Amino acid sequence: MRLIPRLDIKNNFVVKGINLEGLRKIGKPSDLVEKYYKEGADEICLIDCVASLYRRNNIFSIIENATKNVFVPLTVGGGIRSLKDIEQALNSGADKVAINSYATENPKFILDASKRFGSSTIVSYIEAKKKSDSDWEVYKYFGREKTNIDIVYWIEKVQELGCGEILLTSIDHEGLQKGLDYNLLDSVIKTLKVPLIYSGGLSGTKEVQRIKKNYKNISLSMSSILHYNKVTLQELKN
Amino acid sequence: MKKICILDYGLGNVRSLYNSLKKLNFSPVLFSENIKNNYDFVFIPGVGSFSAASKILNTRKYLDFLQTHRKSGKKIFGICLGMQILHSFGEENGACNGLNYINGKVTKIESKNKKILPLVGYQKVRFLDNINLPFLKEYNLEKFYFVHSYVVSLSSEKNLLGLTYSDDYEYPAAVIDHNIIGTQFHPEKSGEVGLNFLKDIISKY
Repeated sequence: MRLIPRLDIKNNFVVKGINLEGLRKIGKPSDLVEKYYKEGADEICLIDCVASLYRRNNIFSIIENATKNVFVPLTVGGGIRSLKDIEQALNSGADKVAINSYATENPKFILDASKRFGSSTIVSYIEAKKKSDSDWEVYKYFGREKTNIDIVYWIEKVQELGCGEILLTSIDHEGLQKGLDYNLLDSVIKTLKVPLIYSGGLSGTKEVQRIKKNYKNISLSMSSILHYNKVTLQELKN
Repeated sequence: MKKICILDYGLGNVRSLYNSLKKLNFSPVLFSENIKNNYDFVFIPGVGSFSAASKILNTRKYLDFLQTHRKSGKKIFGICLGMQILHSFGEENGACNGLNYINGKVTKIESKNKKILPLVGYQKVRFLDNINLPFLKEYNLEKFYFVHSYVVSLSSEKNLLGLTYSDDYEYPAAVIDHNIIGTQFHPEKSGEVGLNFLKDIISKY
């Protein structure tokens, strides 16, 4: 299992919210990327949380700076809406690209991107919001807008289209540090053909052990718990 | 100082490898920017499909460059897809030719257990004793970063340099043939262990 610190970026700062809202400044991207690398992150994930909404992308220079001293895989997302964007992300030092909003509007983009850059480069980033105990809806624009797409349907779809990995965020549990959404995990697990990275709500080392033991091929992404120094990566790894 | 070239043939990200080599105080040159024939080390990186790599690399420009280095005993180091393409052929999208520097074929990972692909993550590598690379002992059972859906199946055990395991599945993690070497894993994305591995290979191989 991989442990993957996630850094949400807004206007050149790492920010963090609760349920993807109320974003608070945490620090400088390059400082935190390097810190988590040194603490033993298996990979690192950076998401520009306003890029899609404002249709801009200034995360590339951040990646360029952040990756000079970091030698584990780096996934970058937020505002990716063309093959050119992907190329630019990779040239800046990203190893994988996470795509959410634009894929929900134009699913074929996942297909084109995986064909061009290889499946293992393309991560389908999915924001899930609970409708009932057994239904989740896909959201876009960093949890701001509904899509009317069902989560299980969407996971099947993006796998069919050729993504190499899925990054799934539970909007409801995100930022709370009160535990993962196991109902969500259980509902999607049978559908999986590619590795899944789950993010949202990690509460501590016990949960890491629980996932390791009971869920195969699932990796964990976390942010609040690290940003607020509740636990170190080293502790989560042991 | 060893002269290093990264063969940037359009597949995958060369920036990570470039940054790693810079970090190790080497001055890598991109093939697309400076074609000379006197490098000590040529890296073949690559992410994507075997057939796409086969199509690009099996053209005069690249073949001549690689062949010159191969014949003069310079080192060629393939990483991931760049390692797979060193072999005879690949079975993705119908058979297509590799560079055929090492006898073997590249096939999709198949397992009795239901398998999630690509395989992504850190795995221990067991390095075999090699007279020319005694320093590899230091890396035995260290973890390196892998991401792949295809594996190499070697025609001869003599080309096997390292092994890794996933569930019931054992496959080559590193291969060698004289001055040709390849790793299925990404040393440039395997943290400090990977950086040290790269440094040792370049300076001691």
